[in-house]
Amino acid sequence: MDILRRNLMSWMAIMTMSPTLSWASGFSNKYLVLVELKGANDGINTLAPFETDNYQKFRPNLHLKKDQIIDVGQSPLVGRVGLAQSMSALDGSISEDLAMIQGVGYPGQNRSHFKSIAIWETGGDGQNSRTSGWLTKSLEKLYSSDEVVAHGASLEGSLGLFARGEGVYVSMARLNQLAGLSAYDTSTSVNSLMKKIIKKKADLSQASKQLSQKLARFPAARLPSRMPHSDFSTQLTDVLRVIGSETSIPVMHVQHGSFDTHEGQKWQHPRLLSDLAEGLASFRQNLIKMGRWDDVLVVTYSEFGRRVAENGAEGTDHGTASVQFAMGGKVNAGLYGDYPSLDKLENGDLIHTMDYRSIYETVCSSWLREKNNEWHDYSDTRLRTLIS
Amino acid sequence: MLFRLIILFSIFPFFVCHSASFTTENTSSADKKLVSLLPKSEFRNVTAVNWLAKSTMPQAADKPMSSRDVSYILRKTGFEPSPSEVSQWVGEYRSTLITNLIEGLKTELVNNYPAWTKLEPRYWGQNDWPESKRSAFRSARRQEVSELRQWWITQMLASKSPLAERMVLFWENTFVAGFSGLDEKSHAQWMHHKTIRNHATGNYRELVHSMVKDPAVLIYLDNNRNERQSPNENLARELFELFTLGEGNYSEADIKEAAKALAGWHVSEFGKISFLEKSWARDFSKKEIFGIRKNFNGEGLVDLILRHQKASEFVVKRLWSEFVSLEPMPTVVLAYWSEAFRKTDYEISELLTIILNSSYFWDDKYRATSVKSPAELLVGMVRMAQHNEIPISVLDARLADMGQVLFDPPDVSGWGYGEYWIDAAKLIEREQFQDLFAQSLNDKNMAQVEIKNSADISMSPKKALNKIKLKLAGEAYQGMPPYDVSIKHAGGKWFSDINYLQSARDTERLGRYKDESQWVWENISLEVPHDVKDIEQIGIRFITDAAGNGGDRNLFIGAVEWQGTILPGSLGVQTPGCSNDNSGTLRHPDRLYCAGELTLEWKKLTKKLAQEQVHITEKSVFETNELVLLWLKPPSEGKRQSIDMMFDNLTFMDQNWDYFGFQVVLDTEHGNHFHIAFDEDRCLPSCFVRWPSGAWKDKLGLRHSVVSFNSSEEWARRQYPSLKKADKELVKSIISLTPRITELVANTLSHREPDSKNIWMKRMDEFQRFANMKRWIPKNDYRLVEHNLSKSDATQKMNNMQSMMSPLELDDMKYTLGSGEAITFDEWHDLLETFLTLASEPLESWMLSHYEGERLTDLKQVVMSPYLNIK
Repeated sequence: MDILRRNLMSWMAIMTMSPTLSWASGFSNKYLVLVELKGANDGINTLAPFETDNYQKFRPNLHLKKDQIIDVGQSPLVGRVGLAQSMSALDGSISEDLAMIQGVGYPGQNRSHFKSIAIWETGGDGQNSRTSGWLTKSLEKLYSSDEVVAHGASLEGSLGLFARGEGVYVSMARLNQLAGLSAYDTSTSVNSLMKKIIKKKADLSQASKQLSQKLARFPAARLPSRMPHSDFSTQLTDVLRVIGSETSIPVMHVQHGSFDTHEGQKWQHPRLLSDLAEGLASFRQNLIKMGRWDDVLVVTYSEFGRRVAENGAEGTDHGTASVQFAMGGKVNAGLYGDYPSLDKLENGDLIHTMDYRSIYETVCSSWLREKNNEWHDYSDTRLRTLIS
Repeated sequence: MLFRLIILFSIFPFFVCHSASFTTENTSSADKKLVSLLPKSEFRNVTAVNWLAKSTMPQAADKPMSSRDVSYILRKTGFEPSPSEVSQWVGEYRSTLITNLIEGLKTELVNNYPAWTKLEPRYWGQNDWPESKRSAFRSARRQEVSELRQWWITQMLASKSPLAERMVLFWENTFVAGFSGLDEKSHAQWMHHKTIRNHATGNYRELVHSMVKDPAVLIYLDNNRNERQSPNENLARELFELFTLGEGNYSEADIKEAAKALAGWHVSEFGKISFLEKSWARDFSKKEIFGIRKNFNGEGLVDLILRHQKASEFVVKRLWSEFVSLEPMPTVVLAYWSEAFRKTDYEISELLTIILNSSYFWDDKYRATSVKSPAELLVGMVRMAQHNEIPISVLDARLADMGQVLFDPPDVSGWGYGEYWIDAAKLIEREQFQDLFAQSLNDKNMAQVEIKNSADISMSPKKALNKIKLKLAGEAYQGMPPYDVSIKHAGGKWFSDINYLQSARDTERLGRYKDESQWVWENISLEVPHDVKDIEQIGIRFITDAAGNGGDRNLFIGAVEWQGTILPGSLGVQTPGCSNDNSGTLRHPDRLYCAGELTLEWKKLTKKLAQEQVHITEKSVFETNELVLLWLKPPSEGKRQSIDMMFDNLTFMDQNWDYFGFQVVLDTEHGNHFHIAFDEDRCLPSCFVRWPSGAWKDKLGLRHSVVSFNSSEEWARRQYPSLKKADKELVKSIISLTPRITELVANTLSHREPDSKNIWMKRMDEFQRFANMKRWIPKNDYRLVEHNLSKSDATQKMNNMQSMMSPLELDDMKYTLGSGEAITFDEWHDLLETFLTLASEPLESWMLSHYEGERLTDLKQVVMSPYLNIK
């Protein structure tokens, strides 16, 4: 298999060899950043339908009160909806470039974290499983391996999003992983496999040296604004460095969580949301100051939402539909889609009003400019104005 | 061209005779393929010896071996050999060693399975548990799998049959059922492994049959949700694509039909986790698979797959990658080996004999052309050195860093081959491990007269001091988590030295643990002076915390053992804990995210425990561990409203059930009928001594019966009267539990709709009125004793934890390396000298040439060689 035919190290070597960056026509320095809200984010307390009676009724302890929300608009089935106050760091973004997509889910909800995230990553649903990452075909069609350093990168250490891709995909938990690699002597071998390994190791140790120089020129301290101190923001800092150095990786994956709030949600969830909002807000600030915000699209995803009714442990169990966000200089702010009704539930769960693949379709057609993409059947007019 | 064809024909007499008549044909319709299946006569149970005697396959076993040959076959079929393993075979015939390897194929255990595998924790009926209890339960299951991973590593280190261990690893990587997809069902994971181990070198047909019924596979691939009414194709698809045939050898229509054949093959969680066929979910219609129309079930499906020509080719191709090379497999070899696999009727060891005898296996062209998996690399290095100072938990952690969490491949397609293992991140970690291992081989250790091959280096055989044992996991950041232990006892307070948790994950380089199921638990044993006795309190202190850019240092406490009593960390109290995380400290006192201490009130906790054990021995005629409300239907759904109840263990008069389930039902379809329903698959053993004659029998022969209160319909009314006397008395006694059931309905967390509780409470009132009728009053007033509830909340929690935790062993597993007697540093090098004199490519010649004529005499240099990556 050829999945990792090139690797992070060799692109780092390339990167340092051609600092002026003359990428071929295919890559236009635009970046898609996919934010995985690991553990299943509670959409109902992220974007709260605070006017419906059932919201309080189902969540006697957990519902957000009027002073804990930022009213962001009207949704046909539930009335006014409000963003959790804990996300107030994104205040400046709400009317500018933050899109909230309501009722996102898929038919035949699988409630296993592991399986449902695999469904999101591959573009399947409860009846049909798929095996390769949802973006891989598009990316490989749009960019040849020579045009990009990598088709996609995970700064979190997993490659599920790029499963069975045939392009170049890299994963590195931390750029730190490179540090301290022993200097390697360049002995040779008659064995071709051995040659490859020796070469790779030599490249690696060289790249590691060069990378530390490169990063030294691009330290977090020299970003226009400081990034907050959290695991999530650390990943975003690495993303900013990649964007700042115009390294051609069209898609990057970061992760935040765990949102699996089966209990103690009252204190846990606001903290998770504020880490998310603060990270994204600083990320945005930096890119605006760098003059790059128009080149970036951020989209969130999460395995599923949480059940409407709270459980007995001041938490919520696995549910179905949820709200997802899109952000970026080219994003038109506002509410998209319809908030699912809290009066008409299916076995205590929200009934999704938008297939998550409609977002994929919009990303492919409006961001990657791939008109006839795999998700064509899910095209949804309600998302037509999402990206300008 | 014609000439070449003729030659080919003469090479494969067996192959040709069927290839003409049984081929796969593409029809005009793109998605529909006509598959010709092989006749039964193709599978003849020929032995490898007979096959080899008649076959034209080039063979190369009739030759004496150089040390290069010996190390080649041992490395390729097992793990990197030690010099002594090699020297013992130099000069012998290849065939002698092959015979020895095959006859020695044993997947038997060097160490017994971990003690927890004998437990049967209750995976069901946890809906109403508080989250703290559920969380502790899950934590215990994860600790168990961590222990199983470490057990497996010792098995590979110690095995006398490395080939058998490689086959176990091979099948685990074929029939993937990863732990992170098993909802913490550690027991399903273990059963899966046990089954693979039983069949790994046996018959492939039996292996596939058992895998399709394996609970872990059924859970992992969602077949638990595959029902006639709503088929789930996951298992069917992967069975074809990744388990048996490979992509392109079946159609989408075949998958749909195969999913129907597998519908209703579920898993029972009640009692022991096991395969369970559910008749209501089965699909008894005719299905057309590979062009054959028949009422297939799962077994029929497997039999059909195994008649597919591609079935043998699929296995043989994978074995080529596993045991020979990453170079493409020549079609000649594919034809020979797959034909041999069929002719020997899928006997795995016979096929291995044929592979090892073939000239292809020995061909220079294929030597040193593939990459070792991390397990092969790591186990091989230790076996080669015949020495190990690194704790097994650290080996476990390092395997994960190199990308191979045992029992948990990243997805159902398993770990890859070749370059999969040497992408940048993994290659760095491989080198890191080589470094670590080289450092651990310091001359002092190796030169010791008394050589220890055992993992337990803290054991001192001279003085039998008391020991306190801990099970810890952790995350490192700019240093391992430092901890110490204090014991408050009658004579004062004792403090241990400061220790560092070696198996903690380096978050600075690798990021935090993504999944709790992958935490590596380390067993630690600390010596405690004799005057420490009559213990009151045990404290484990996480001394200095650290966090920063991209990393965090944390300490997690799984369990503590003192003189045979084990308590889980979750029973302790954490002080002071993180200031911004108060309720987190309460929820998971066993997780120290900030510097602080976990205190276990040892004396109080063990005293409570002792009282309970006395209590449990009381006997009564109607008793259970717990009457559990399993599930309650939301009132807005369907005509048949039910509450699913189950006794966790039931004793009634002289009878005992592992579990006994029943439903309280309101049927709103024809008026409001109340009844109690009994289903045979919900009781073990069967619910009744004799089922009523009117009981409904499903297609699998399982019986279902109702006891009706107010139905006017004949079929419902006539059932109860035909029960035997004892069964009637049991039914009445269950009805007399209505107040208890009402209480459970009032308190359950299963109400999914706002009015659910009110509606159900009204129904229970009505139900109670029926229950009060004279005909339902039992002859004797059997009062139900529920053991789990006859205790206070705190002790109930402890009892449950104790029963889950106490049989765990907090000792490191002992093992003796299977690659021969432990040897000293000097001996190792003497052997290496001999070994190298005779050797050539790959590893051996590199070692010679690399140092320009200067003979390599340092084991550390060997251990650091990049050649160890390949085989």
